Amino acid sequence: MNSLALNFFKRTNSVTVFIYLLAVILIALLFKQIFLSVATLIALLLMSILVRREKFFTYIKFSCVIFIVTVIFNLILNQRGNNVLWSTSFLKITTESVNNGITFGLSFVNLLWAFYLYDALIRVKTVFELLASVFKSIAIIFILTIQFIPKIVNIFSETKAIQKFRTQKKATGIKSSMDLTENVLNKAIANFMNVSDTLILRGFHSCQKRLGKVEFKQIDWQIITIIGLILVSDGILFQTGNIKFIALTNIFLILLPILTGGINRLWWKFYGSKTTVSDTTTVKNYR
Amino acid sequence: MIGQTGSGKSTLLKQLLQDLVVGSVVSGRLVTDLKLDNHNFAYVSQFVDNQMIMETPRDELKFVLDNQGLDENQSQMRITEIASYLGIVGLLDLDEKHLSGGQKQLINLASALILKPQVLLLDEPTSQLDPIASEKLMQMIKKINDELNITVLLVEHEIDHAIGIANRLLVMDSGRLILDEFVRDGLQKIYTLPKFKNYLTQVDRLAMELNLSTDLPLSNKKIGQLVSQNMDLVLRTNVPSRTGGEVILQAKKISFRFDFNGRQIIDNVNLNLKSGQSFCVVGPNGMGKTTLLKILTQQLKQQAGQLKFAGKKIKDDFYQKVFVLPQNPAILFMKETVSEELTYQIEHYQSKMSLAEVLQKFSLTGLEQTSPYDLSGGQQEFLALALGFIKQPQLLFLDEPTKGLDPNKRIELGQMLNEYQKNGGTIFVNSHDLLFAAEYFDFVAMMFDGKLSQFMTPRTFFKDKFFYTTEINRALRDSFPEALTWEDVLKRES
Repeated sequence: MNSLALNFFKRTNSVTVFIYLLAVILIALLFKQIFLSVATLIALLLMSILVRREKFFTYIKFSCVIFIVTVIFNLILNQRGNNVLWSTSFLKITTESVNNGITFGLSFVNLLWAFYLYDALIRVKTVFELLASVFKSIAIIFILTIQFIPKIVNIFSETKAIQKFRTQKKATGIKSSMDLTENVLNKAIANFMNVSDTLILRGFHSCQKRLGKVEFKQIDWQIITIIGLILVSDGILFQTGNIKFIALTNIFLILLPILTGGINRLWWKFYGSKTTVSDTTTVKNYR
Repeated sequence: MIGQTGSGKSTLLKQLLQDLVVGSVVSGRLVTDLKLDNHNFAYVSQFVDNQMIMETPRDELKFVLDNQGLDENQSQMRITEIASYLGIVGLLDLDEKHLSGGQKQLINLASALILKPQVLLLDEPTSQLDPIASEKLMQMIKKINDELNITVLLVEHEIDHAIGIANRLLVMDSGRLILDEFVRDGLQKIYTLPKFKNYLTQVDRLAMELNLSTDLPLSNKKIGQLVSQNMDLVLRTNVPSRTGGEVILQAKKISFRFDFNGRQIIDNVNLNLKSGQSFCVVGPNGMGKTTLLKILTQQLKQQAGQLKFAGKKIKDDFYQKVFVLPQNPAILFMKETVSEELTYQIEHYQSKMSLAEVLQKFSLTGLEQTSPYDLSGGQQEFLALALGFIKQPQLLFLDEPTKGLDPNKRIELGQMLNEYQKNGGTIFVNSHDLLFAAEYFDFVAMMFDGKLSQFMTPRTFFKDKFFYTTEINRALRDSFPEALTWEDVLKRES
């Protein structure tokens, strides 16, 4: 993770990060306007590559596919509009339908990248605590799913690879896929039971109502206030049609961790380190 | 507590934690002043990977405390205390994915101890750890027992590291507790029980077999002194060696990594496996042994280098002539019952062996109608091995085959592998069981940081190792540097 982003996530608590991620998802979800969507996409891509580089290029391919499929579906399903660009007996492509298709495509892609950030930054404990305070059973299902899905994927790929050594029959068709799935689920149950035992051992079954109190520092309140102000101003400005300003505020919100980290870096470099930390190596190590 | 696989050790242990009890008590009752819950009884299981719910150790410890309703200040104090005591402060904020097996088990121990229990229940906690990590964990358990006065009930198959710290030895056999003695008396008694003789540590077994001492358990230092004072002892010389045939599998400059800028998990590895010989790769957890095996069996594709089977590029016939027994043998199972699994395999490969023969040979008689997933770890291993031997492969790969096996089953496994080898089979095994590597393989090599050392005979390989070697070798390095097992030192025939 980029050091500026890391600085932000280290200095803020899990609830602030959760609120930031919800705001990013909200932005990706709400604004359906090409200029705004492109601006959001650029900010999201920048943030994603800085936060988690490993899966970035896989998601790029995936988001291209999502974008193309959405645009094509929109062109087929929505053929309204007067400025005809191209038409056959069954398909009419208009400027409006292309515009609409691209907007939808970008919205889906933005949503995908917003969840990419969510996946990279959210901590199981935060979601679990939020869920547990509302409804305990959902929290258990959540935790088992979080633990379970990667294990099922792992068991599936291992079983598929190892079965080549067990049987010489080529696994093709629905029947063999169903057999494999049944097999995988059978194997996964044991893992499931172990996780369930662990939950018991950790005392979740007898847990008290109040789970994990989160400590808020000054920076948390500042970030939450900034996020709130941006969302409110976006709502007001969207009605007035000030798209450029909304685009700027959205980019600011998405890049908030980097900007905050950057300000902290500058403060540390030019003030904090000079006034509070000695340059002596021994003292630095000691501190 | 020791006992054969499936003798009821884990079931007994879980009786002390009511929420984990499976089935019901048919007679008798537990007598204790303590309430049977996780405030008084803490439990750590052998499944290293399934015991962490949260992403980081700090979150995991906090989760336990939050569930008990502790406030922020109390939680912070408890985490500080336990982390400092167990020396895991540096691990608190690491992602679970980046922890080694030994580190994960320390975190599990911390999660168990954070509620300040009276009794610590440990169910084969070292079975998935390499020897060095096992030793470290055992030292920590000793510290907990000595300094905190917590009662520890430990179930283990390998008692080498545990016996020195235990006060009492318990033996379970077919659901019954047949022995409960002070360690010294207990060890002497199990030497007289043929079924449990092999549970003795190598050092104690040597002392008993050669009548050197009955004051068990003996330290390496003590047995070293006893052996060096005894002039009647000689090193066994008739070590069997096999000359191999053609090269059956050749790997040339194989490399592999998981991430673009990640660590080289397999780094320029070369090897030649000759038919009729056996090879064992040892090394700490997480050093690339399993990845190497997966590449050699083409479950993963190498990113650089070349792999040849019988002198040719790998094609579909490779899968017909090779069998892989993975770390988790359950991955191989496809059917509902043991009998269906074996019958399918017998019919599929038109084996001449009958179902009854297979069941008997692999100690599975009586388990025909049991689901393969309900078998104990050792039984699953043997069922998987049976499936492999029915196939009669030219090359057999096994990944940590002794994991969860009791000493008797380990010996049975070794003997079966030797028999397979005598019939021309080639074996490649990953193991952190150094004794197993020393006893049953022609060649041993070490994997570390993606590099594979040269394959050498066990005696050559282990004789200059200082830490990573068998207990007998450590103890007798001054008098018999080539001795690896208790059977390597004999009384001189007069």
